[in-house]
Amino acid sequence: MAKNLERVKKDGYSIEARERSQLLSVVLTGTFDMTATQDLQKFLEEVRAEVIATKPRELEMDVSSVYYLGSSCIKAFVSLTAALKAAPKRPLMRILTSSRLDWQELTFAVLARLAPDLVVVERVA
Amino acid sequence: MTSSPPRRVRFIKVEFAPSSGCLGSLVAVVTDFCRNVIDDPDVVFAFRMAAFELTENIVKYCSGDRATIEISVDNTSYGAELVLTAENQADTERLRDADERLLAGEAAEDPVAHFDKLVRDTLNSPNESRLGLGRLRAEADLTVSHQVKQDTISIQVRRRVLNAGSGDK
Repeated sequence: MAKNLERVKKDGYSIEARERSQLLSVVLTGTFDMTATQDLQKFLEEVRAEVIATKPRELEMDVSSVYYLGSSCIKAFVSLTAALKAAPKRPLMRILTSSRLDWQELTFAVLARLAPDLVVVERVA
Repeated sequence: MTSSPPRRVRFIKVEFAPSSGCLGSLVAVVTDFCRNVIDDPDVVFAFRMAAFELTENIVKYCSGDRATIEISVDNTSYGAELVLTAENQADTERLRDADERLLAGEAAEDPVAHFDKLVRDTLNSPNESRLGLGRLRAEADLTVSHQVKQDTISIQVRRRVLNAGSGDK
């Protein structure tokens, strides 16, 4: 587990981070509606701080087991993307979406449009 | 004894007291209705998203103690449409703001470009995302319209559907 990122586990969703050589990996599962916004926002702010402190080469966000992401939670991802875009040493932000859940690619594509040099959206099995 | 023909379920309307605790139940009602009338996971997901976004807006901005959400299949001259309607009271300033944002979204020729602008704008809006209504056109390919009458706003999202069933699966 990443040192400064404590796992969040609530009824309906969870967020967890792992760190290994030059890669910070964040895994989200469940339904992220308005009731998850505060936890997600706080966690992603901590991810931003961790990235700036440890300067990993890659930030991987595995959202393939997310069943819904509300607009307030999209904003949390937008804020993270904008903050990393402005960082002096930015990692590649790789977003892993499910090939079975088409909406994920559509939803996260907005981040790639916001920061095309920073964000890659990929489908996984 | 002859069995009576199956009844055609064409709408469900729910009146509720706005609270985040009822979000999941309302979304489940809308999603189940859609699954019963249409065998298209993309359309079902589009209306699930709309149910979440419209209900969350009601929970955040409703000024009254009651609101309604209705999901229906409407037969039009050009085929069947699924329609989701959310109605609630709101403060004058909130109504004006919602009206302006909805008019801009409805008039936008390119829903994706409009949504991208909202995404850039949200960075200057610390407490609100203001993305929910925009994503319904950009991501879910839904037609959005609205009406403001006195202190009440009614938002409708719709999509034409093929082979809408009777709801008696």
